[in-house]
Amino acid sequence: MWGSSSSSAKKSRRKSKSSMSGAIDEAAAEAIFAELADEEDPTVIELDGIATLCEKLDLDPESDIRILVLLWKLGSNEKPAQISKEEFMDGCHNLQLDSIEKFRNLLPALDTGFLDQDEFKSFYKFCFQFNRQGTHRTLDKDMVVALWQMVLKDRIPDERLETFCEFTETQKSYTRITLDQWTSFLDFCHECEDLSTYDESMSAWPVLIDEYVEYMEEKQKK
Amino acid sequence: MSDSRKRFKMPLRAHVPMDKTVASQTWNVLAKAIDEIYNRNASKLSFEELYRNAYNLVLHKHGTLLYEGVTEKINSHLTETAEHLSNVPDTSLLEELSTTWSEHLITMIMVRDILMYMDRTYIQQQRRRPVYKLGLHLFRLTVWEHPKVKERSIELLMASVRSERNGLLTDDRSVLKQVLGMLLELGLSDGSNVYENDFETPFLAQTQEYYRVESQGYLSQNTATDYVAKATKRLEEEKDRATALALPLATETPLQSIIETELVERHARTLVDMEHSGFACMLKDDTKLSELRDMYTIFARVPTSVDNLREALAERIKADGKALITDQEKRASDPPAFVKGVLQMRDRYDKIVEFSFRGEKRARKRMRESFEDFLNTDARAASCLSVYVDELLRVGLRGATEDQITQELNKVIVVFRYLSDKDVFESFYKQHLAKRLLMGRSVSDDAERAMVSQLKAECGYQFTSKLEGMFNDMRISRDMQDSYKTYKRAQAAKQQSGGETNGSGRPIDIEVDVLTNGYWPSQNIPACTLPTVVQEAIDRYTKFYLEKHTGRKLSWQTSAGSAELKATFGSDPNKLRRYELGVSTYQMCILLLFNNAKTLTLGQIRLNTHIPNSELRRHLVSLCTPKHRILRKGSRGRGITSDDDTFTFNPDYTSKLKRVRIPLVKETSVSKGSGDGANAGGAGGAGGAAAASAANGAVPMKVEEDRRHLVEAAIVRIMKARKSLGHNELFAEVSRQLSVRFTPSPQFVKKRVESLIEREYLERSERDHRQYSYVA
Repeated sequence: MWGSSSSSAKKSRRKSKSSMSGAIDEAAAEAIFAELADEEDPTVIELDGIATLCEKLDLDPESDIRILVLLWKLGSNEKPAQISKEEFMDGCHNLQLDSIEKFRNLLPALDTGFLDQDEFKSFYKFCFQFNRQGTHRTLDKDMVVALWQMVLKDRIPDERLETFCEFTETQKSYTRITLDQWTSFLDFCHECEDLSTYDESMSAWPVLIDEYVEYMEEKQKK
Repeated sequence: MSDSRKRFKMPLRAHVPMDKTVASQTWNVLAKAIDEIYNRNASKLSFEELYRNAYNLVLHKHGTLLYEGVTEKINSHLTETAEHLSNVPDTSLLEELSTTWSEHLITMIMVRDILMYMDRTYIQQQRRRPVYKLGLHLFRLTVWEHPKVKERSIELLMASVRSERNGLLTDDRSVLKQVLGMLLELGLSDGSNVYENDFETPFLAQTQEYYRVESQGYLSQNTATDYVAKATKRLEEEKDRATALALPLATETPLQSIIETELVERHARTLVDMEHSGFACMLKDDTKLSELRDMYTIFARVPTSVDNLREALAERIKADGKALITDQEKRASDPPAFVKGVLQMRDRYDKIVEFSFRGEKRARKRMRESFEDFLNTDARAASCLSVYVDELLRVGLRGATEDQITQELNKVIVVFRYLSDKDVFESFYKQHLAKRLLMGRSVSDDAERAMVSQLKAECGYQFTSKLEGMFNDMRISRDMQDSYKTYKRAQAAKQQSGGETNGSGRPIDIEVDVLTNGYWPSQNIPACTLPTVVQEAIDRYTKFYLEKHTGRKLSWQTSAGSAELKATFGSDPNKLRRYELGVSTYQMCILLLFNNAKTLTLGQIRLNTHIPNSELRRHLVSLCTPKHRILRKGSRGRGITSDDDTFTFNPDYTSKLKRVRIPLVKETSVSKGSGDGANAGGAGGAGGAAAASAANGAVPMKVEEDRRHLVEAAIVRIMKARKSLGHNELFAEVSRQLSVRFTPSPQFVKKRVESLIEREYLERSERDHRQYSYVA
């Protein structure tokens, strides 16, 4: 249900990569998975397991975005806040991972700066989906603001990021953010750098963004 | 003469060439003849002889001699004329010029006739100027172009037009006409355009200058009306003059347009905006219709300037409309007055457009747009209109003839057409109609039906289907009532034959209106606790009804009913007064409690009846008014303050009438403007709910909710058919489909789209955020 295009892209990438490089030590990879897997449901790694992985890799899960990039690259897709065994094993094949050491070596390559615009877009969408809770379709506003500051930093102009977060926080009529609003914001940042050319009457952006532009105009006047 | 003819008589011998001497002799004869013609002695000449002479000269190849000679001859005469004219004083120059000209023309005709043979042969072969034209050409060069003639003549021509314009009587216009005719002919004969160059250009320039100065001066000192009169006169004068002077069309057209530009176009803005007498200002005055019309007429000559008038009209309508709205806001309680104001305004501007704008289409369109503009600033107009119609159908049309009804309703429909929030109107209309039908307040069934069919004609079947359903319910209910009566009689007969007696005396009569759930304004108010006798009657009816219609469910709307009570007042048992009180169902419940108790508190009453608090207060207060003090209220003041406020039956109540209807006080006087109370008010005071909403002009919650559904349904319908569509196209299509009911704002539609994306009916394209696609 989410991002079918990106997952199919990943599958094709896996094929091309596996043909290039040799097989991995599947047993070792499975051992890593088993260690991290959830106690109640050993077919998935839940947030606890991810936290353990972070510890092993010396990552701070609260602030280091690379763990999200890693999960995205591994291919967590099916449900939010977890990665299934199948996804994990496929990901290990793709990324040629069979030891914690190799995971650690991969870390420098996980900086979001290496992602091109399309890859980043896909990753950005993943960030929303991964952070959802169970069957909720939307994210809490506070969570969204925290994520934006982490994910979009250096990706869009600082001023835009700050003012948009500030605007979202002050808006009382919004308590949750939808996927459409989330993804549209990134597109909006790319497409409308100059707010003075923004035409609200013709815009197809979500109303949230219209209101942001209005908010900025008001601010400018003051 | 006869002997000279003999002397020069030539035998017809074509083969003998004519030598030069003979030729020049022959020419001399002709030259002399021309002199004679000039001296007006032509009658003495023999045309036949002269013609032959010219013929011989040309025949014997002396054409050139002849042509040159004639040219020189004419020229010398003209030089003389020119000299003469140059010395003529200004006062008679034009006249002399005109005479000279006409004489010259006659001369030239004669000369041409003599030299006809040359014209036909020599001139054609040599491609030289024909004699007559030669004469005109020479006249232009020698006479007209003479410095002392041309300059002065032009100046004189201009001066005389100027003095005519200044209102002085001038010399004979025919002289002017002739001189102008001369210039035209001169110009045409040799393609020199003297008329255009020497007269037309300076004439038009002078005209422009003249009217520019005059119009500015005049306008600064007179009213716009005077100015228009003057300008109209000026335009007529110029037209007259052009005819009198036989100006060619090529001059008259630019002349007209110059004058129109100078008199009208240049001052259009000023004429509209002028203080006290401008168009905008006169629009305020009902007595200025014909002045407005005059101005329109003159503006209509320059089509672009009429826009100024239409603009002024639009501004005026919007300003008046705004004033009406502000008035309405201030008094905040009289929607019918607002509608009356709008109707008056429409009558007035209709007249102005019809008369002053001569029924012009574009003005009419502007008027419509302006009305729409101010009426649709919020939803107030829709609710006010509905209140107004309610009043018409309850009171206003009482005793009206069919024609009057149609006339009144037509007016209403005109305003209705201006509305974009037609659904708001419908929502209020439904509430009002429900009240009228249930309480039997309508003046006439025909009027009701006429109104609904008007609405149907405007908005189509769907718009009125529920309203028609309501009428239908009423009809069926009446039939049902009849059969219930029969049923009851049968039951009673059975009971009697069975020997049962009814303990509580005669059972009370009830009349039931059975309403279909979806048609009527929904009221989710739980039924109150009814007195036992009433409850028994209701149960009997329910039994009867469900026998006829199995599988239906009856729920009782106690907030919408009314009752008749027989009440006895008076403390002295010998002087009891009996009245029939017409009260609401709620009031009946309240009053019946006092059969068993003298004094009750608000809390007790609520506990015993379960009437919703705000309604309970309203119905109680209505029983304690100075005019109808059935109950005595313990506390002072108009409102009810706490649950401990007491109410006591008032045995001293008197009334002149035997049957008394207790009116309900308006909602606002009990609890000020609580929105929910206003919406729930079912049986309540006339237009209370609408008045509350009309005052703030917001779209009612319920309508807003309906709109959400309608917009979403439209989007899904469109997207299902089109699969993928751009934002603008989608918005346009949605607006089009819904325009009969209301006009959604872009933001409103966008919110619905977002909601549909959220619920995965739609998808926003990954590549282009303006593109949506339907998710099957």
